[in-house]
Amino acid sequence: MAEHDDDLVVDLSGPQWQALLTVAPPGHEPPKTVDFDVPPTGGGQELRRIGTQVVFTTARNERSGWPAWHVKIYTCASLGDAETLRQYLNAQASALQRANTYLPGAARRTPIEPPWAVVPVQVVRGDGRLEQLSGAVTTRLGVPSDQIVAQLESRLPRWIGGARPDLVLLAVSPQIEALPWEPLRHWPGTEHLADFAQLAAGIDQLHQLRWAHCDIKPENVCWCAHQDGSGYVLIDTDAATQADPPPRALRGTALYEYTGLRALRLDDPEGLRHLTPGLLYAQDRFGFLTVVLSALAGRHWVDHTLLGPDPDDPSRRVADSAEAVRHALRAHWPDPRWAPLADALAHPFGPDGRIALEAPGPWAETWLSGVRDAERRCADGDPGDGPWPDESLVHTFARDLERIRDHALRGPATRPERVHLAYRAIGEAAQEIALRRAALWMSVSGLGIVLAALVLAAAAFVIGE
Amino acid sequence: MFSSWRRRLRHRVSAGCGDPAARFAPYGHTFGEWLDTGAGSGRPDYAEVESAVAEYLGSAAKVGQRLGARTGVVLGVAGAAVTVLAVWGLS
Ligand SMILES: Nc1ncnc2c1ncn2[C@@H]1O[C@H](COP(=O)(O)OP(=O)(O)O)[C@@H](O)[C@H]1O
Ligand SMILES: [Mg+2]
Repeated sequence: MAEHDDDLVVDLSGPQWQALLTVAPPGHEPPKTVDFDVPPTGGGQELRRIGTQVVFTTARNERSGWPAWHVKIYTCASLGDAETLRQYLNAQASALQRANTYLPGAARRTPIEPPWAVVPVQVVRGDGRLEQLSGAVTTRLGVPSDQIVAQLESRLPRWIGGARPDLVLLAVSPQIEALPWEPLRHWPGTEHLADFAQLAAGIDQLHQLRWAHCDIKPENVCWCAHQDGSGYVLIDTDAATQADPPPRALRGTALYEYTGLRALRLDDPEGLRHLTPGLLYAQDRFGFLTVVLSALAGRHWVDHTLLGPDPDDPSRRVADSAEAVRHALRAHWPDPRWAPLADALAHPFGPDGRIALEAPGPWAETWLSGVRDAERRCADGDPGDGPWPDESLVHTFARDLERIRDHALRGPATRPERVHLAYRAIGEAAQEIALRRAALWMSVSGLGIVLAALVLAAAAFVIGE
Repeated sequence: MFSSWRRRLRHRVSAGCGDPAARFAPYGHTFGEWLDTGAGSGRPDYAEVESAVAEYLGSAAKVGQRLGARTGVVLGVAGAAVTVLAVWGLS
């Protein structure tokens, strides 16, 4: 039983596991209006427009398992809307979770244990009735012992806004770290590349299942560390759709729109009625490119240069031509050594690249490994080309090297953050060593001269006597 | 006076050794892997990163040595002058 009027408890369970989430009241942000265009449940042609009010909050798990949760609360206008939206969100959530099943060890884990390529979302009914998701997980508002449905009307906490419980739906997902992408990277952030491997494979898997996420962009990718490593994870699954057959409406974010979709929309405002599966896959892959480039070149570079106007033809964006992207990347990383990497990153933006983006077969994993190969070719140039650094110094500074690594490893940081910490630690160690050495040589030479003068003076004194 | 000397040393080290980020970014993800595993793993590319960091520290040590020795000479000469004058005065 909820002990407090304002407590909201969600029970998630599957075979052998249970999570019990206590939902915290949301902050004071006003609700966000979000519209969905949903194909009607009974089949038929016309899309159903469902208007919702959305608030975000968090929850804590009282049982073992993932501790912190993200909660999205939808309030609909009518029972029919709530019913349609519930089925729609459930279909999205279960389709997207299938993208995680290929991950190593997935069969041994519960669906709420990492690693994930796409964050698992569970839909919970506001009216306290049981919800089953793809047979494996059941969700329910309130703990199982309080089943007095008649009381439910009065049982939603006041902060939900007084809506009827049966118009309310909750979508809960494990809360993972939102990443502050660096604004500008003047050297390619290639240390991120390894953490994209699972996400790339997950996107390919999703497309093989003929679904598309449709809103892949830097804000919708979080980072998660777990027992076996770490990786980037897609969140925000409520724009996802079946790609084949394609839907007749699309949600997404204008700034990150794929070149082909943009052309379709600009040609004819009704153009999006002629979506193809390939365009949806390409939209996801284009979004993935913006995320990888945010990691490598910086978020600001992506939002303002890559997606900004092409200096040679301001009616287009830089992202609409491989040549322009290559140019912009070369200007951003002027060291010629990075040319192979810039070329691999720019290729998907050109006409050949776009054919591959729109193809139904998998793309992301192959492309990512091509980028990693290109990065290795950059390393074939220097610094390895120069004379091999003096190894005896490694012994001289063994203790300082140890300290630098220790310092960088102590933070709970992601590898890119550790790398930055290490750069700073190296700079500080260099200053310290210089000071130590300066003090030593100052005393050696200073005392030496004073001593010599003393000896000379003493000798002069003795001779003078 | 000491703090302005410290500042000069800091400045010379930064100018002489360069920004660590600029120096080590070209190693790409190998740098991060070296941080996580160390050079003990027998990977020549990690050993190379480690040597490069040591070399960077070595160049800072050289900057310190040069400024230290020069300051030592100035202080030493001043000290010697005082010593000689003092001995003179005594005799
Ligand atoms: N599972 C999650 N873990 C961590 N943060 C999340 C999670 N889901 C959402 N968020 C945060 O909340 C923000 C908004 O949630 P999202 O589901 O993306 O809603 P919207 O559809 O409004 O973009 C995200 O940008 C992210 O910062
Ligand atoms: Mg979002």
